[in-house]
Amino acid sequence: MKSTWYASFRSFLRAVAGAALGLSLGLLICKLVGESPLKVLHVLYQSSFGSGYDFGMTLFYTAPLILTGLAVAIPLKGGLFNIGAEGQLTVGALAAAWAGVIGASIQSPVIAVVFATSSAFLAGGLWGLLPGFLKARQGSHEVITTIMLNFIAAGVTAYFTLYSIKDPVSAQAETIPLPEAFHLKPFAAFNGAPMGGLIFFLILLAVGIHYALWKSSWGYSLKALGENETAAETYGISRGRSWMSSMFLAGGVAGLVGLVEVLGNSHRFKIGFSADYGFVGIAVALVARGNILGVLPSAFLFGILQKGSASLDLETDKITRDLSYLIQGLIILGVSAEDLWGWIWQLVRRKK
Amino acid sequence: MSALEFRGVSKCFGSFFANRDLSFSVEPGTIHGLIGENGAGKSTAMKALFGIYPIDGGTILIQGKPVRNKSPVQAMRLGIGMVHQHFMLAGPETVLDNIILGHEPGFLRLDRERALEELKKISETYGLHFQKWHARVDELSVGEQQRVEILKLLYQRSAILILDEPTAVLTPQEVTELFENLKRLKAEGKTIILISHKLKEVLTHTDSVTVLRRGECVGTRVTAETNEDELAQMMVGRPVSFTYEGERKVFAKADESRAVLRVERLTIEGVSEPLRKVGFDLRPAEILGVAGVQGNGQTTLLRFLSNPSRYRSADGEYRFAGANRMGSNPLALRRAGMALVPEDRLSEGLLLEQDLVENYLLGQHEDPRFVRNGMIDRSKLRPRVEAAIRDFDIRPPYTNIWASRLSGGNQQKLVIARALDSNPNTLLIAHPTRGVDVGAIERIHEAIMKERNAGKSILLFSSELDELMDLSDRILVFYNGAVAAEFSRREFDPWAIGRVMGGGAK
Amino acid sequence: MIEEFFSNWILPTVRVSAPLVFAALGGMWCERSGVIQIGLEGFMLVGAFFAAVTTHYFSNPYLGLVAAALSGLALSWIYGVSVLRFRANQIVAGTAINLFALGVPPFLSKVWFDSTGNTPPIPGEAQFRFTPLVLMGVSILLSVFVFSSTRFGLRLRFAGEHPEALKSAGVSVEWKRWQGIALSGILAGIGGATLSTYLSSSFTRNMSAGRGFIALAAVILGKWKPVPTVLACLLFGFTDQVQIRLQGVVLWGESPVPVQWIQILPYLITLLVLTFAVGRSRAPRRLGVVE
Repeated sequence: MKSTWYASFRSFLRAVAGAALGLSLGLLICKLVGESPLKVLHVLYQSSFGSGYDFGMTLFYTAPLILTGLAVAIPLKGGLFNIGAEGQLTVGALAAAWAGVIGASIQSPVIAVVFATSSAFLAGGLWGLLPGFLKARQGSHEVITTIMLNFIAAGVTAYFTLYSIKDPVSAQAETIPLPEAFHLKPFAAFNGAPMGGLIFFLILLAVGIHYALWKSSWGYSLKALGENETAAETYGISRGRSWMSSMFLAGGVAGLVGLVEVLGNSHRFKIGFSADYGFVGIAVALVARGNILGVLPSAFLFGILQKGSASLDLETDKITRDLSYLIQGLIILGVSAEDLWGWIWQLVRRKK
Repeated sequence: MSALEFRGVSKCFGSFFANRDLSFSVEPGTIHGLIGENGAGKSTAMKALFGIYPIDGGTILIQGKPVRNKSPVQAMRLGIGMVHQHFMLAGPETVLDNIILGHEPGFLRLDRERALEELKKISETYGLHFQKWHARVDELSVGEQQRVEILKLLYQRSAILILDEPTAVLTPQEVTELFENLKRLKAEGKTIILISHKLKEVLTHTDSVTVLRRGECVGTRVTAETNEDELAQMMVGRPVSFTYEGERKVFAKADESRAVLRVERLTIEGVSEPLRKVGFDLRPAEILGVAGVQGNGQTTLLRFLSNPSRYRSADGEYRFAGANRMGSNPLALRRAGMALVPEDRLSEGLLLEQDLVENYLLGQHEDPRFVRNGMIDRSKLRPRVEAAIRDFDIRPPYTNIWASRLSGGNQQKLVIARALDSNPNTLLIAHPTRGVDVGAIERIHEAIMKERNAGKSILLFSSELDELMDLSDRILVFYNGAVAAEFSRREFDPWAIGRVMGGGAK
Repeated sequence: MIEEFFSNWILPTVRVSAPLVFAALGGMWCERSGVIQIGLEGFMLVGAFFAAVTTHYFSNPYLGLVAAALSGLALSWIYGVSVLRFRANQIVAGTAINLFALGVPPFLSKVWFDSTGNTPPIPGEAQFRFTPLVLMGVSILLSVFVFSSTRFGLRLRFAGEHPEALKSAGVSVEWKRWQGIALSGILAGIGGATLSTYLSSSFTRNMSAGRGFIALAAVILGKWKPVPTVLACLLFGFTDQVQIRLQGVVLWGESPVPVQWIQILPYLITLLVLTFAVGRSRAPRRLGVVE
């Protein structure tokens, strides 16, 4: 008897194969412009695993992608496409930096970090709640509203950065630096790469969300809504409550990128710090096929790609870091092509 | 020479024969019935005729010539046309555009005037009296839409017209009108194939009839020489009774003040099927039937009763289990003892890509028997699902398969079992046997009557008048968003009820 | 007075609306055939890039226009293969197309010009004067005519509204959808060309800057009908114009309105209009349904 377990295993295999196909196509493009695919792969490998520092940096790139991947995957359970993680994480990161300005006198690192974390979560969450509310209340399509809110978030955070909490000493567009108590400590083994125990917290967060979605009545409602909106509503599941709560959670989780970047790395908010984490998060969630735990390996894959492509600029003649966009696009296409494998299988059989 | 002949036609999917050695022929200028249960192979045979499926053996002959249709277009060129059960009409487009689609006159610019002229001629020739060429399709009644479908076939010059369950959505009066039209088409030389499971209408309106069972042709009869019992036995393979003849417990006359559910002056405007001052009582130990042509407010009523929170603009009174329920949500009603079998199990009742346990949880996802502190205990749920599978004979009997793997009848049994799981005192049941096999129908009717005999209150919505008359204690007839009449059991008469359904007086 | 109003407001509004109009008409055709089109942004971006590159090499903006249309068409073909042939989720595949398109210009400009995503400026005499506006007018008129009065328009509308009806009339639904997708690629590509060879004189990194999404919003706001869609584009063009004019203007107090507030204006207005003015507009019935 083919069970649901078997179906999800097959879907996992298909995702891996699709990602591999996308990656190979990307390498083929490198070949076409005269760069050896093996060399590109080698640069990618060296740059992500070559040393303790490199691995630490890879995790540093992975961490925001875990968060934005979750921010896309959670509402996806309820049938919503959250394209707005970029805006949510920007707002959350600014809130984390602002918490440091308000709480400058806090001495206890625990209180400081909890304060900054809740500010980031709340700010990102509210920014995510808005499109959820508009969808439930007005039927506005979340894809469009979240995209608009991304642009608006960029403008709004830039304004506050420049006019409210700007660092008077710096010539850059950045906020006042955080006091010592707000800093997260990196692991010594990473030789200066800004990543520490936070990564374990993020893994726990993903596991916790997975458990809550499977086990709780709230998670069931969300899943039912994503599977069949009409049936869910008929049987008393409130679209508004599910959508708003899932978008709040998603936005909050995206906002926690502020921990990685502001508390863990630069200790302040810089305009334009995000390397499109929100958009790559879409790719992360899709390659994971919306599975919450799948987000972890998927984010790691994209972390390697982001870290590695930075080195491509330096180590090759013709390839820039923007190659990673091409590869990401191709990977998503490979993973999302439902009928690809059936089609290939047919071709093979016809040959025989 | 036959208009159409199947000679030993077979079609299999894997090792399963959907059609096996099918042979029958249809004479030109006749109405030919094609009957059989769900899954008997009627639609497979028609799809083979239309070239949607390639056939695996045998020959199909049209006007005596063997044909191998590879696409619906070819079938159309050979003069075969079909009115599907779900109309092939786009609601927001005009009647004219819907009809000319695929056969548009004009070179660069559509020549709508020319099409219109031709259509008026056709309408006149066949006596269809159609006028609303420029109306949007979704502004027409169901009967009118069906006429548009027939006009479409005539415009395409089809010689053989296939109608798939054409009367399922019509009032008895509209049915009469349809068959009058079909007779005129027949008189003009058209051949008509009527796919149906309603034996009475097949017996009244066809010239000959072919019966299918389990993909095989049981036989063809001249209609005038057969009867209901013979056809039924051919269809099912054993004698069946068509009316529910189980025990109907007699209770002392119900006290009207003891209504469990009461609606008064209920008015809902601004929806596609508005309600106007609807009022009725549902009493203990009765089945109250709701009849009406689709679109006269029954859908809105059912949706409102099961989920009043969806209709903020509703006006009037709705009391259930001793409390005002205006604005309530389904979970609150459930806690008060209501359960629901929705109109359309696929779109409203099931999560197709989830297993049976998850499906069983729908609506019970906050029931304290399975949920504590917001956390679901699926180990308590699974035995309930297994019991339901046993009690209702759901096949295949596994809890871990997707709901999409069940047949229509088994899906419906699952939805009904779930509704009964919490031992509700009031049931809202819609179309319990739509798309369900005869065997399962008996089982479902028994289950409903058992609940009534146990003193439960049941509001039964159905488009099958026979079903309503078999089961109900009273019937409310809806017309134009209001209760047009109420019939008590001794007043039941299909013609009288049909007249009210079509807007007439009781 | 009227001349001033024309040259200060109407002409600039129409000018900045041009890329939106092309892209939105393309998006409308595609969505009417039943396929969601998130990828307009990507088509515009590659269109803008290839128009600038071709015009730079040949000093002929018309060739640039053709190159833009072809590149948009090529990218839309990839999209078509994923969603029609391989039945990928349309929003997912559209997102992938946008990411892919984001990488194309910098990747190729590194190879061709050793730059990181900008092209060399095109010669001044090769920049468009008003041809794109004429082309825009023609596209609008043609769209309106084809949409309501031709066989193609009728069948394409049915592909999105009732594909079974189209199929049973013997017309291939898939082919109509291919055509819808191709039209969106060509038109959005041309829209991109107007960005780099008409509104400016070179391609700059991420030049489309969300216009593809605004165009999609215009389609929704325009209820998937040609004339309202064009009007919605003009509305967005107008807010863009207001935005440019407000920069550095003192509205209240002493200092000018902060540029950050002004820059979010088009997006804010889009959001408000979509939320409150449209109500629930009715999409083609089978939009985005994978058959």
